[in-house]
Amino acid sequence: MLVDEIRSVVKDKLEGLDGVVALAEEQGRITPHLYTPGDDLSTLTLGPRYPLALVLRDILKRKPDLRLGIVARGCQERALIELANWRQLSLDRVVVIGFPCSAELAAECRCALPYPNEIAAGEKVEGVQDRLLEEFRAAKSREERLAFWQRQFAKCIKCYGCRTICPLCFCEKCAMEQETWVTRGRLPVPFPAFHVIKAIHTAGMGKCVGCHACEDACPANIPLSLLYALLRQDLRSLFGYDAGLQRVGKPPVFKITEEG
Amino acid sequence: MIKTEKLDQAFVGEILAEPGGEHLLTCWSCGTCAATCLVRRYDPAFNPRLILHKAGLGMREAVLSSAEIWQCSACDACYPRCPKKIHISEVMKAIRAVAIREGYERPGVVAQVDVASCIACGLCVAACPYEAITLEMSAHNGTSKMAAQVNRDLCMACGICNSVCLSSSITVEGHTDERINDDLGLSPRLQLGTAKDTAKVLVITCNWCLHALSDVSYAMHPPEGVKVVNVPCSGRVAAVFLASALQRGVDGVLVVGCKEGECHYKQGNALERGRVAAVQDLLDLLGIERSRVQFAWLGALDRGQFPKLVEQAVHDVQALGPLNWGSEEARQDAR
Repeated sequence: MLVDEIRSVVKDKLEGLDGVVALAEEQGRITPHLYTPGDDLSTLTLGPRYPLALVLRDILKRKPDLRLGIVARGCQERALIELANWRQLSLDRVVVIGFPCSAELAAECRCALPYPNEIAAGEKVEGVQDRLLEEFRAAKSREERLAFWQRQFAKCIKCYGCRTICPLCFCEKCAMEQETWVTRGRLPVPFPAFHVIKAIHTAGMGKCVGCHACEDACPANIPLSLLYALLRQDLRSLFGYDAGLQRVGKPPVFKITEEG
Repeated sequence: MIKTEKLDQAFVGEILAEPGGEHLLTCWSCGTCAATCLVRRYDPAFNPRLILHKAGLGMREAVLSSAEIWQCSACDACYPRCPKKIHISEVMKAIRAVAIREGYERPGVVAQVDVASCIACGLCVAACPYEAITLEMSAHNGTSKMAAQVNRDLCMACGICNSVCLSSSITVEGHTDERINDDLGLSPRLQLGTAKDTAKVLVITCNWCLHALSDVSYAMHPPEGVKVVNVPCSGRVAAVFLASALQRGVDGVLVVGCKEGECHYKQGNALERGRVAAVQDLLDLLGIERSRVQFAWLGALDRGQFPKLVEQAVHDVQALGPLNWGSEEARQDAR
């Protein structure tokens, strides 16, 4: 089993580390967990998808000197790399224990790259082409697009779950909480400003790694990852850039703002 | 009156020794720079020719203590026109360097960083046209953290840093987000005329691109349904202002910036043009017509053209019809 192999890699790596961030299953509940040397690893589990990069980011923010590992899917490795590209953490001391996603999950995520750069165990599966994007672009007229997103965003209960769970939402002061833009305590959220801020500040900035965490967190089932995937596709065709594929000195948005 | 005994040749030598100051004495005093100068249009007291002349004579005290040496924003409109090819903004920089050494400070406001919320991503560092921002370890809550730091001798208070900051951590007093929002009249909702069939268009212009009196007076008395608001630089207009306007009673937004190569803050106009294009792409995905958000240049020679730009935008938006989406939301938002 893949999880057994990963457990044994984690056991080895833990000897030289202060801890490893992974998911743990106890009494049927799965939560993020920091395993420390000597811990029982039988609770360590791989699934479901979860933005563990966010957990690692937040621990390192408070304790930057810790030497930590992380059990990471492809998207989470990309999230870590993109966080480093935005100077939000240093990868020098982070050990990534990568593993590939299953073909089923890859299909569910419509993920083009369902594995990290380096895998510690398991077999890579083929990436999936996101057909929804082409369908959306081809089949929907402007009026249909507007009606579609209005209907979707009207469901928003403004829980900020999509923001809070996003590994690339690292601001201390969130624009979506500024009274100037979004009036507190009022529903429905301002269309389109509320979701435009979220979209611009993540996918629009080239930060989105397509981990689907926002969509998983959304209690109203708003297909946020579809909107962000469309934006990522636009950015890819404009700048040839995909968030988190590699360490870069300056992501494209830095170059654009520099050159004007 | 210039008193010869007060002239200080050592001062001239100090400027010449600074990088950029070498060409101080090649000036002919022809005044072409002053005729071109954008700052001078708004502050007739500012005259680059006179500053160079006084500095060249060695009037140390008069030059260093004047507010004018800090006013040049290095837009370099004068540089290509100078018959002696003097890079005047660089000479200004050299004079400032001498001033800073002698303990003079730039007057007026500069960008302020909220160290507590700054995430040190460096986007403002990349965006600043004056290389006035660096990431430094800054004192915070008894410890230190990495944060943006503004060099007040270099900052021109254009606010472009504010427009790119994701976490609202850098602002310039006088044109904060809140202040601009108030000026735009977007909170809670912009009421533009009463005629139902008139397109409601918000026009945001930079401080420096309206030159002709007729343009300025048109801006002050626009036709019904149009509101014109000034910002320091078109590059100050963050994407969220555009999205916000489309939701708060406006059918279309036109941002007017200086012509390419004429930006008072070097590249703010180019930044904004790119930003408007990006917002158009996003709006298109959401099913909102691209032309509801527009960007237009207005060059220094395009006198009297401003009304045409506005009328074109109004015409475009009129053709699209009013933005009556989610009328229920709109009504609720208005309450």
